[in-house]
Amino acid sequence: MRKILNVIACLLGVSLFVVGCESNDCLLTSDSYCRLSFVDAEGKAVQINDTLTVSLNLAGYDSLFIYRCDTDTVVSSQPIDSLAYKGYGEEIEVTRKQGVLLNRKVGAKEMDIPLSYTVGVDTFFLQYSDRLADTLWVWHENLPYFTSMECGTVMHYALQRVESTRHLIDSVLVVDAGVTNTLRENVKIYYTVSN
Amino acid sequence: MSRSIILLAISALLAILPAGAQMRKQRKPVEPERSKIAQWLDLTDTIPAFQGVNVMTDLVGPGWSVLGGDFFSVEAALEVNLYNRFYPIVEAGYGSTDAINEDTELHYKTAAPYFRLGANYNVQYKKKRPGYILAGLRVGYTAFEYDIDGPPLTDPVWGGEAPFHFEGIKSHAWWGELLVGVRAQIYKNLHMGWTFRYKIRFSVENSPNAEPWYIPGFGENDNTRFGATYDLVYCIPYKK
Repeated sequence: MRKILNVIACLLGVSLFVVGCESNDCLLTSDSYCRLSFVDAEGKAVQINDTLTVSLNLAGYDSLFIYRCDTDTVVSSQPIDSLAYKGYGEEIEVTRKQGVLLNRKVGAKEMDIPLSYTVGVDTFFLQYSDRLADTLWVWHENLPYFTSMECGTVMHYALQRVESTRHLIDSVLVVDAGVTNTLRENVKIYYTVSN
Repeated sequence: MSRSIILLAISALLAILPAGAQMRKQRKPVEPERSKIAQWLDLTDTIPAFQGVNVMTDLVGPGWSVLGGDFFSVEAALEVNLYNRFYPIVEAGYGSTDAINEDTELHYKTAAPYFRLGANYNVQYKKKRPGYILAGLRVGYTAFEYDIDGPPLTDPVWGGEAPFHFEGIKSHAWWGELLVGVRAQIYKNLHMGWTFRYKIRFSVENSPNAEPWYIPGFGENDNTRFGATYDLVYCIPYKK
């Protein structure tokens, strides 16, 4: 009898210890990224040996200041008063606000792209060199997600479809439509050439 | 003639004696044949199977809430006493929470009934004392809806905000419980005791926007959970 009571008391003690030591197991990152992997026609991983610059159109607009004098042209995101004083003609152009995700990266095999919280389709510009570029469109459903009271909320997405231009890209395939804050391959981008 | 009569009487008596002995043997009480299950369970016919009904309520659920816990539950149970050894039991309760986390500013609200079905086993069934040690199993189920409210999510890259407000998300859950406990008589038919429970979640329905944080009857949502009840038990007298 005493042994049994001792065992029960121990179990209770262990449980209190376990409850007391319960830790917060929130993931360190609360941002969800859509992972694109680059593959060849056979589906094998390839790396882009050319430089790769990826940019996106953000909400809002930027002003671009263009100064021209004879054959000289200067483009700036800020006004340059000194050029105006030197006789340069000034033009102000309104453009979509652009953000750069990847800047002239060499040897990229995959890329993680952020998706919008509020818009249903995002556009990404993939610039390989001065002349070669592709555009990628990602349609998605936004799913604000409750993780727990302690860990808070994150944005998850359900990919609906992905399309692209076909300059260097041959096709795109959604392999996992669930985009969460645990990174995994979501989209395969098939390239026609491996270099 | 008389001699022959005496011999006949003695031989008749000798013939009857073994039969009489046999009859005495037959009159000796013989234990009724028990089924293999009854033998295996060591059940005897000395007491009837039905020994009464116990009704009980848990004091831990309301107690946690009074002490400032996030969860509130009330629960009652009906238990049948078989051979003072087996106790099939039905537990029904109502669990709720209306919690706000000050760090994340999230508000979670739910309230729903839950049910458990199972049995207790009195380890001390051979001892004739009013207290006992229990081991038991339960299967629990609840169907519930919950609301979550929180600050909007701010997009760090593209800009803009997404609201976070969901009402009436439907869910249901199944779980099992392994328990040990003790129970002691405190006054006549009134007993008190506690059970310590290890809960294993079998399934829970998640929505695309959330997984439940609190499951009525199970507690905070996780694969496994520890729990306890402190029971006030009334043994309804059973007249044989």
